[in-house]
Amino acid sequence: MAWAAAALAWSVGLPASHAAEPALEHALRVASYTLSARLDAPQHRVSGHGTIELFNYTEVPLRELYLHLYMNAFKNDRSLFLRSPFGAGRSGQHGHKWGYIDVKRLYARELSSDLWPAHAPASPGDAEDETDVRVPLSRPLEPGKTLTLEVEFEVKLPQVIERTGYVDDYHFVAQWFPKLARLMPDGSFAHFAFHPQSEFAANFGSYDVTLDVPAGDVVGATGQCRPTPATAGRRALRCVADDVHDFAWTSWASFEERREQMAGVDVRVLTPPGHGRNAQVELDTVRFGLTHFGARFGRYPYPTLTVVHPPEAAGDSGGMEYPTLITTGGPWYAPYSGARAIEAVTIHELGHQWFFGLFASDEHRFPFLDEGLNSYAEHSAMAARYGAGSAFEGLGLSVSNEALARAISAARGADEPIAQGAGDFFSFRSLGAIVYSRTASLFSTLSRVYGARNLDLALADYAASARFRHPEPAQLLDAVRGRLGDGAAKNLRRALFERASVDYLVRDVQSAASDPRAGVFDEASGRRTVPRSEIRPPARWVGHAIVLRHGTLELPVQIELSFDDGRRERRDWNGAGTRYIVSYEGPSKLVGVTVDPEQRVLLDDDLTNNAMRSEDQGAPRAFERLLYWAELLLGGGLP
Amino acid sequence: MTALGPGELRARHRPGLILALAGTRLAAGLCLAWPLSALIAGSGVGQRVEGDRALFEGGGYLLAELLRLRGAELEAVARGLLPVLAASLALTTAANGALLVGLDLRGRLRLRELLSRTAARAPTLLLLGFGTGLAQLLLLVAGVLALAALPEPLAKPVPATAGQAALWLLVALAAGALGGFSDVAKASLVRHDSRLGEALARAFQCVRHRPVRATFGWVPWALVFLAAAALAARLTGLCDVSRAGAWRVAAVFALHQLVIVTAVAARAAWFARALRLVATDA
Repeated sequence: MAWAAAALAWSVGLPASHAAEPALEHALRVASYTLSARLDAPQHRVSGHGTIELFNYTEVPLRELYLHLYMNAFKNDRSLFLRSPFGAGRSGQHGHKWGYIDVKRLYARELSSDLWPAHAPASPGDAEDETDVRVPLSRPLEPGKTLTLEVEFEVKLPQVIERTGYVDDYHFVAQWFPKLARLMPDGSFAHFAFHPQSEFAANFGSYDVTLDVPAGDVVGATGQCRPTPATAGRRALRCVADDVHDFAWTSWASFEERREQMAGVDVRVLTPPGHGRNAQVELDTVRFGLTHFGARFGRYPYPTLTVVHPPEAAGDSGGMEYPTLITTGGPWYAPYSGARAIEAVTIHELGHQWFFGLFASDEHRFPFLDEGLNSYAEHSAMAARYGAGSAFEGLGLSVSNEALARAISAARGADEPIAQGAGDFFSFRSLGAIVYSRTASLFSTLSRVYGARNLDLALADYAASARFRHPEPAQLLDAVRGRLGDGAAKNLRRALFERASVDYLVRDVQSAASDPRAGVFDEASGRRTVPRSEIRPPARWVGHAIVLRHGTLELPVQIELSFDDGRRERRDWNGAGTRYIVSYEGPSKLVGVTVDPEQRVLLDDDLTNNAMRSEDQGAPRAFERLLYWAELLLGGGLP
Repeated sequence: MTALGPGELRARHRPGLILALAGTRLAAGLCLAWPLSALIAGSGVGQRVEGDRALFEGGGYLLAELLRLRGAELEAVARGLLPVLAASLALTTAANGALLVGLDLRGRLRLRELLSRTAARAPTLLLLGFGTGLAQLLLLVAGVLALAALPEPLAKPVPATAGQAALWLLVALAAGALGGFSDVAKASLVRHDSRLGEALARAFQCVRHRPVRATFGWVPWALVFLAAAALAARLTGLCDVSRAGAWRVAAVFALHQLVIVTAVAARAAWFARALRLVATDA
């Protein structure tokens, strides 16, 4: 059946071009899990057992497995995750209450072999880390065959740190079971230690997980959950999900639940008491987002979506995505502040259902394919819904997510390439600026320069070709080339891989009468002296300006000329070459030049040098506002 | 010049003085705002065809860029302005003293007499103002420390926030009462030309006789100011300075200065009441 395996490998592999690839309806089931988990809430422990099925879809026999034991990231401060003296990951936290996983048994049914005794740590180049283990097989697993692993394990949860753990009786359980590293088409495993800057990668499969929790707890989990019989004082739920690649759950007695059917999806929102307004905002945002993203990146295919809003004290478990389950966060009064933080985090995590969930790119090797593209999707969705004030509206100001991302991107954008592994970034702050903000600004720039409709089509092509296929950057480049052209694809490749940047600036503006004719002239009638005062007003004016492009991105821009009679005129520059010389002759004086007047190039390193006038206009509005604030300050704010 | 009787102490008798004080605040505000706005204009904003309208445009691209590129310089200039701020605050305190003196006097105000009487009381007024500020700061620190001790049950975020808000309200009330008491003491200093100890004793006497008026008598006038500021914010929003038109800037300037005049007038009204309090309790 090698041909069948090869065909399947093609469907999950990465041929050169997929720009017009039709979307798959379902994923290939490579790694499927049937697990039972019992939560001992007072001890913050989870006991688990069940089976893991691995289908060898490749064309080569497998002689080993790699398992990720990511709960061991919180076992001690010698793990790769907690080793840094500056604190771990995005939160910068140190471990307070340790968490770990003990695998008790790993038995290969088809091989009649207990595999666990032969396991060995395998975190690449890291002897102290215990989050990545190699398990040799006693016999090879041939192509097209399935291996069933019987597994038993015990998890001690940490106090909430980086999206998993407990606070009091609240539990959020993620990265909690022994999980197969992603089997690649060539028969290798994409295994890696739990890096503080990295997220995850796994094969698709089916998950059938039975959860046993205290009777009063409200549970949120990946998949569709239905009650099953439980022992006294306990509650059991069986949660089933197909075409997914991870499973997370939460259990807390104090959750309040809201539920709504939208676009054929059963949406549940779990919030702490007192967060009714947040729950409503999250429901409204999901209702908008399912339609908005569905129209752009393909239908959301799962019957359920659970939104978990953790209590504030467990905020580090928020702002994360899992298949069919997302976590948000924020104080109960956040919706009244003028900032749209709840909306932004909800739409961002919802967007991950496509980029992380359905496409399942490798977040370790190329985090920009998930976080970067998703940040662009988030900003576009927020702009579509809220306009210029998509991030904040108040104090007479409207600030957009795109403007904030652009500023962050410009501050750090040229430090590192966008397209590199999560662990290769200097720090999470650098990754945040470059992967999240710069990628978003890059795609906003492509949208504004080459047309929003064209980029929407390109991303729709990419989404179709990426759905259930673990995409790589080449697919994205192909999709952009197909709809936006070679120039756009060239700029995209440079921006992604070469730290390419751009700064358009106006260097000089001059304007003068075209033919002053002042001076001493020898004419037929004799010598005549024309004083300057006689030549005003001039009939014609000439103008001259120099617009420069610094950097290696060649993006087309417009150049706007402003005249003293209020008239404006636009010129197009295709961005080729390093300078554009503006030559003008006309009836009015050239008083100013602006490059990229509509701020299409959000990757522009410096927006303050995009314009030049013959006379500085000062900043009267800023002066007035500062004056008022200073006067209020002197009055102590109150009489 | 002689002091007015308790029934004659009214802010409306001194419109010129109120305008002069608003002018003083405007002058001090200019000293603070000018260097910062010059830096903003020089950052490239003044070179734009649309001028600094772009700073107020929807989306906030140029505003975010200005803060990114010039934030450190703006902060440095703001720090450099701290001595100017300190001098301006001292000037404002002295001007408030002049307001008290002017409200207390009968007949046409003569500048020389106003200044000499104010100068005579200025050291004590400044000392009282500094002491009040220090005490209010200590209250704030105590509030922060108490806040850290408040329990925050996981499943009760609203009651937890209500507890925090109640604590802050308590701190604000205590600080406000202290401010009111301090103003009454200042009024006593001016009205009775007394020493600091005597003024404080009179203020305590007022608090005993009329506890609410002596500590929170300023609240109605504060509400008048807040209403004026809120109304101005609404109206300036309608003016929309992100659009072209010098009249928009002029209108916003006029609205904001009206708020400042209202603030000074409200303070004058409260001071007149404080003077009446110490006059009738004497």
